[in-house]
Amino acid sequence: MKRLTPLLFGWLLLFSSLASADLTIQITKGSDQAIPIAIVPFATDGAQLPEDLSGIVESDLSRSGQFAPLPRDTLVATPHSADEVYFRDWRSVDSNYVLVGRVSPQGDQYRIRFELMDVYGEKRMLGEALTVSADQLRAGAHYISDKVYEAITGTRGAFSTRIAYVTAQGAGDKRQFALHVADADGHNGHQILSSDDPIMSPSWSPDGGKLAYVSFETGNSAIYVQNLATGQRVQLTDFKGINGAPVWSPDGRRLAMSLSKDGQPEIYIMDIATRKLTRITRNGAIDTEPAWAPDGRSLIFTSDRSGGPQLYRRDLNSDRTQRVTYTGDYNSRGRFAPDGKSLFLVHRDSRGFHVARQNLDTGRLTVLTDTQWDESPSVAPNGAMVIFATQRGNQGILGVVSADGKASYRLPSAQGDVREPAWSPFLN
Amino acid sequence: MARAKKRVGYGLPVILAVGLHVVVLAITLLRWPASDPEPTSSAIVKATLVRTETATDKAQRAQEAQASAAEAKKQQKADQAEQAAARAEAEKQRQAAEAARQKKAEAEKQHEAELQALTQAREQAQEAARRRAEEAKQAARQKAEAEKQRQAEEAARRKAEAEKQRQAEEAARKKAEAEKQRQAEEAARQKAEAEKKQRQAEEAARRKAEAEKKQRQAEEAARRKAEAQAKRAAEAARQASEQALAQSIAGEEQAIANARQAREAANGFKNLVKQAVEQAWIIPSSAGDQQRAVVRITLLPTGELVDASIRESSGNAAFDRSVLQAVERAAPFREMQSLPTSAQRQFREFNLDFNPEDVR
Repeated sequence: MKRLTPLLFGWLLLFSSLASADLTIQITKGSDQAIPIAIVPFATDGAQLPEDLSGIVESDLSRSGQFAPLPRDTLVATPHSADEVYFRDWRSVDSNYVLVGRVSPQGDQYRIRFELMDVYGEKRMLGEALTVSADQLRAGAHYISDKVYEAITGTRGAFSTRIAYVTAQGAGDKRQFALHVADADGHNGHQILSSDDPIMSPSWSPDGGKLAYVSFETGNSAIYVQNLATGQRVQLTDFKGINGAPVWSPDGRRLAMSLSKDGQPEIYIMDIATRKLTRITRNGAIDTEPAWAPDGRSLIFTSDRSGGPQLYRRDLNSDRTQRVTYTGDYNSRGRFAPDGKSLFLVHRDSRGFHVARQNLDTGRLTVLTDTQWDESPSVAPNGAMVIFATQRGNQGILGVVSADGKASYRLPSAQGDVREPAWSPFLN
Repeated sequence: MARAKKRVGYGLPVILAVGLHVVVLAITLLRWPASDPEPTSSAIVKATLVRTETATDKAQRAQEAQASAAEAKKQQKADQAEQAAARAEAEKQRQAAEAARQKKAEAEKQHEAELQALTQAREQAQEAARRRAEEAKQAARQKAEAEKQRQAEEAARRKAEAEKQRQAEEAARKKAEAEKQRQAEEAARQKAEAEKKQRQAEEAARRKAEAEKKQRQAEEAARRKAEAQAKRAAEAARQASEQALAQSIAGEEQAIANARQAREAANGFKNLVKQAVEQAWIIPSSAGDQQRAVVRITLLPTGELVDASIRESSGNAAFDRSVLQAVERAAPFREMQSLPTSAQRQFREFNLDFNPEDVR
């Protein structure tokens, strides 16, 4: 303390002298606008492209809610490379960035060059080239979106990821269920499984190569794992009662699940290699919908042990369980943000069931959606967006909302009911 | 007519009929409790109820369906046995009821014959009673007429008495009224006399007061005039001294006002820069809770931006770039031209401290 005092005094002196010499204005707020960016249509050298690359990038960035691409008819110039960009032009239309590029056919492939310019900093931020086949043009565009997004926001882009979801078509005995995998923007969907019986709870393996899910094809619920590349599938469980809600551990070696083989549903962890089960919860209430913390050291799950459904966190080292949610009388189906600092969940308030985010430090819960029947939130691997199932009319559809709730959009809906979306991990 | 002649021979059949009726009634009362509890339809309702339940079960989930179907079948079998038993029981009860019904019908027939006989007897009795009543009514009528006459006489007598009393009262009332009027006239005369005396006294007092008031007013006017003169002299002296003082401090006040104006102008400009930069700043989504950057700014007296550079970095390239862009987008700050020179000087170079409060 004695030694600290003169030091403190010195600092005070320093600061007071600084303050008198320098005027400082405090900037404490930002605006709610999205970042203006000019995306100049890529030059194609006369070739007809099956896909509009810059158009795909434009809609990727715009959907994120963080970018406001300038409308094409307001572009003041059409440069295609960095040396054609005059910063003053773009400053005059208040554009912070300019993206330019060129696509040239090379045999049956395409070579794509793109460059990103910082208008006010007057410098090139990105310059890259890639070669893709015709059916990879969309993937190429998503790759560019990822790079631009990361260069500008500092957060990794998730436009090249995929989603899995379940569809149900027809009615009564003719009801058909199918499991699909598609690009994150809803394009390029493939059916990977179909069945007369319900399919539920798809979950991606951390390497993005496999899906675990629940199928009722044997008459009872059972957990399967399917390899996406080979289509090969393995039945993992066949216990009496409910076999549900499988989720992969971050290391990919275990699955947490909910089984009712010993009575009401309880949380178990299965070692995938040995099929050995460890029971995690033990009480008279329903425990289900487990999810792993990103560090793999704890699980959250939904339990009605307090009367209504609430989220609880189980520390796997200390075996201690703590209640996590206290806002309202219905919180379920929790999923961690990738940084582990917040949860996305389904929260019920007076207006219905909504996707909400809860800050784990402060406990504050923020409702993100204004739709009424939201379920099954699943977080993008960069934590920026959350996909969820909801209802429009009598039809199940997929919605996406940004983690701050400011931007949202609907995915183009397939036929029939769409439900239980699961966002893949990063795939590249 | 023929029956009326044979009235003497009627007693025995009536007694016999009544006796038989009583006996039959006793028998039916004794038999009824045994055949009473037979809501034969209730057994059937129960059976259909069970069937609808199994039908709804079938419509439920597939997993539970088989188990509940078996359960339902078992229950159906039990129900069928139960139904058979119920049916036999119902049949037995139905036959018993039928026998009872027949017996009851016979009894009723007899009962009806008897009733007829009884009715005739009752009618004759009623006729005799009617005649008796008629006689009684006539007697009553005569009595009532006598009473009415008596009452009329009484009333006349009372009326005469009342008239006599009324006349006596009227005479007394008139006498009292005359006396009252005489007293009132006497009082009025006395009052008028007293009033006249008082009016004369008041007039004298009023004249005296008026004379006094006139004198007071003359004195007051003289006093006011003297006071006004003194006040005017004092005011003139005060104004002279005040003017002298005001002149001496006017220069100083001007200087203070100028300084205040400059300070206000500077504050206004500060707020303007803050607002413009905040409006132009798009905080990147990767900004963390404690992120902060300080930018050094150099302006021309025209408000144009000469230079903006990071003085303290946030450590996040996207954040640093966003604050520089915000300054560039907000510039130029042309309002600087209208600042007093003294204020302009402090804005040639200054810092912007970017420290967002509401990052999630």
